[in-house]
Amino acid sequence: MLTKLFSVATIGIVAASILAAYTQRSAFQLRQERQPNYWARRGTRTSGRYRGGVWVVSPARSSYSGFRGGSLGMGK
Amino acid sequence: MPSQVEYKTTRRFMNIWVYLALGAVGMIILAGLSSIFFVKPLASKTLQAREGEPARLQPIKIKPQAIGALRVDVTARIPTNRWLAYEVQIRDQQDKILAAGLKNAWNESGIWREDGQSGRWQEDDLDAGLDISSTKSEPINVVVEVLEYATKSNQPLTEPVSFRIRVNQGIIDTRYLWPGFWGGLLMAGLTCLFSKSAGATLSDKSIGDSDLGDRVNAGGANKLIKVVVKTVADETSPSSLNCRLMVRDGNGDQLFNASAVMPLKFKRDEDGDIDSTHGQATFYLVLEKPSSYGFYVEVTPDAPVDSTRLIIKQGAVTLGAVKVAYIGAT
Repeated sequence: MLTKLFSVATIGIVAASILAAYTQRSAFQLRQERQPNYWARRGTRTSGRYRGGVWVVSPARSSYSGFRGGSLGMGK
Repeated sequence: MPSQVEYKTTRRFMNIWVYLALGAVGMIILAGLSSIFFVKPLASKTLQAREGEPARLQPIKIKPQAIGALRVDVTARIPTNRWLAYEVQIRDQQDKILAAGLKNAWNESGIWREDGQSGRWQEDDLDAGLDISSTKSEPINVVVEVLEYATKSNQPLTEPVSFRIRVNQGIIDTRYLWPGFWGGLLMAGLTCLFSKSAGATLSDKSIGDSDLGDRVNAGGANKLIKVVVKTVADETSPSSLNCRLMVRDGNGDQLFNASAVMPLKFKRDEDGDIDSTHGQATFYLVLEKPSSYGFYVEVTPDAPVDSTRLIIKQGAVTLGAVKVAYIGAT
């Protein structure tokens, strides 16, 4: 029956999203080399990776120097 | 009388799945609201930093948690037309970086002109955020470091920047709840929709008249039969019509006879004249003995009735308690 199917789907979606939210799987796991679930907030990207106990700054970190803020065309 | 009719108001045919689906959507709202109860503020400070001189909070103890994570929120305070690259760092006791988030912040303003009008605009993006969790208990340092600070015209600045740093524990990532809410709502909506159409349609007949009937094989003690009568009437109709349903057995003997008032909905065209009126009546029956039954409908007064439609469904489900006529076998 379709009603049962959609009802079970509703419960599944809800359970998965509550579980993901409450366990904060999107958080950065300290001292872990792999961060498969990390989800950046407020436009804050990680500037490197944790490798063998040290923070290895990624080459992309230097790219901030190319940043010039919001351009004139962005505003109104 | 060859049979008995007994009316019962029952929830037996209620569709529990609809309530489970709606309850699940309710749960997600509750989960979103109750997320604030797990928050424990650890620090909230405004500190200054400049290039080469990072701002540093007092050490904070992080511990493994089943619910939520440690959230660091930083807001830079800079005047307009400046940009700033800064980093939110988590350092251990030896001052080694464990995690770092880079933010390109800016605050700009200017004048806009359009169609002879003008005004001031101001836009900024100054907030940074880093959520962290740990598998072991340890003290950590939250450090905010200025990497580059300059004016819009790329003039480097050495003046200090003040940062508002807030650290909270037990933060729940509510971003996951939104897709869960909308997806759940959509699925719950589909559940409701399909609950309405549940069951097998035994008959669906229309006639350009007020009286209509059909004979179908139906019945069973656990099967709810839903009889829906829909009428379209013209503008001379009263505010409601009367609908009578009769059920006859295989020999033509009448088993059931009931009437219902059909309130009418008036549809008007763009001039405000009544176009047509629509009415609907629903009967719920349980015919205990499976057999051949005739269903006959009369809509009165019949003069304004343009057409009548009779839908007979078996195995229907309801959303609440309904009045069901149990028609017993002799």
